[in-house]
Amino acid sequence: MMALLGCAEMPTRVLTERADDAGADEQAQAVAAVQRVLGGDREAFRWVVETYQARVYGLALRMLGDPNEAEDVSQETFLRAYLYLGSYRPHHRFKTWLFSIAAHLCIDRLRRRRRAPASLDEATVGESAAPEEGNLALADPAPLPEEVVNVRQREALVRAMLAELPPLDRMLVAMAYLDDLKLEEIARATHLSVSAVKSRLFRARQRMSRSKWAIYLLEES
Amino acid sequence: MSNASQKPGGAWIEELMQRWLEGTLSPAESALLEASLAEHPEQRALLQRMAAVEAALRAQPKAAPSPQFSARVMLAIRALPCPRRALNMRSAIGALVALSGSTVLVWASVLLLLAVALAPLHPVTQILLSLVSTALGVAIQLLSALLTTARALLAQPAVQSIFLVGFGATALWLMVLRRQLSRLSGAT
Repeated sequence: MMALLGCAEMPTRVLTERADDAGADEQAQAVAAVQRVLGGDREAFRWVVETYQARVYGLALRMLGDPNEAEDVSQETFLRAYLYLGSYRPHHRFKTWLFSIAAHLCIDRLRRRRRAPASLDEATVGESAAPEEGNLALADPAPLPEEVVNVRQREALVRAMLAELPPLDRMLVAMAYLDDLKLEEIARATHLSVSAVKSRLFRARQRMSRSKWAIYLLEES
Repeated sequence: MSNASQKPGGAWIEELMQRWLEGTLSPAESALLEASLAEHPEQRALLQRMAAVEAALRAQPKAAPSPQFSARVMLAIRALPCPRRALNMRSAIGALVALSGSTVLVWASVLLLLAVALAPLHPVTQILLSLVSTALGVAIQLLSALLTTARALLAQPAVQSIFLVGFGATALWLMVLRRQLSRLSGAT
């Protein structure tokens, strides 16, 4: 198979097995932090923010494509989580609950972005994160090592492919590759059935592989 | 993939490709895919693109918000009210039913007492009193029957030992249940 494809190595699983022990420990700490906050200790929420900020921000960035907007949505996610902490039920994973808030805020943003009349300024960020065809060079004038350039170009191509997906599919792909979430967890966070998540993910991957950016990506790799 | 031979190509082969990327193909399916790839260069090209996309998605670097992010969030949180435990709907409904039931009983007793005090010979009061006395009589008869049966049963040594074992097991079960519940609710 490798010889047929000319690949260097066999790809590993997309949704890798979760590190159950570490996950259980994190969940126990999250539940304890929630109990402390509900008991009146606001500072206990700092643990929640510091533990999940990178993952929430990563999800928002992949969905929105714009770092400033991603940071705004991340902040809103934590504020909403804080306000509605009383409705969190410990038998659900805290991470999934938090990602669900973030994902829905991102989808709202994307929908508003579609409805809003596009200005020239807005056209340069977010949805149009796609690099210009035939012009994948970075705008940064400072010379960068080749590996950094390659990584940034790959990131830009991934953003471009994600930007072409419908909001819900973009959210599913972002979640699937963000934190090794299981299909069941993604389904719970998005209020979809596991089979719907599976088939949507399959279609999204196919669509990405057929986009023009995938050809550039192949050349890059 | 049992009906693999019935679906030659299209979505089916793409599903095989995706599963190959996930590493979940059986040796037989792998051989099938390999044979198909050997025959169809366009499938090979697609799989190469799929592999490149897959690798790029997995290799995305971890993003981090600005260094002041958590401080900013905590500052905003200080301006918000403290979150409260959400009302458990089941408990709320249970409490409402119990409260309304007890209110009805209390008011019925008050009205009955008033009727007895103010118009003891009124036909309605007489009917109400007879209804209450019948209900009480039935309840007392049931209770006395239960007590008689229980006394007769408890006189048996075998029943006594069953009760003792039952009480012990229940106490033990309650202790285990309490420990599990406190673990589940994350009590520290």
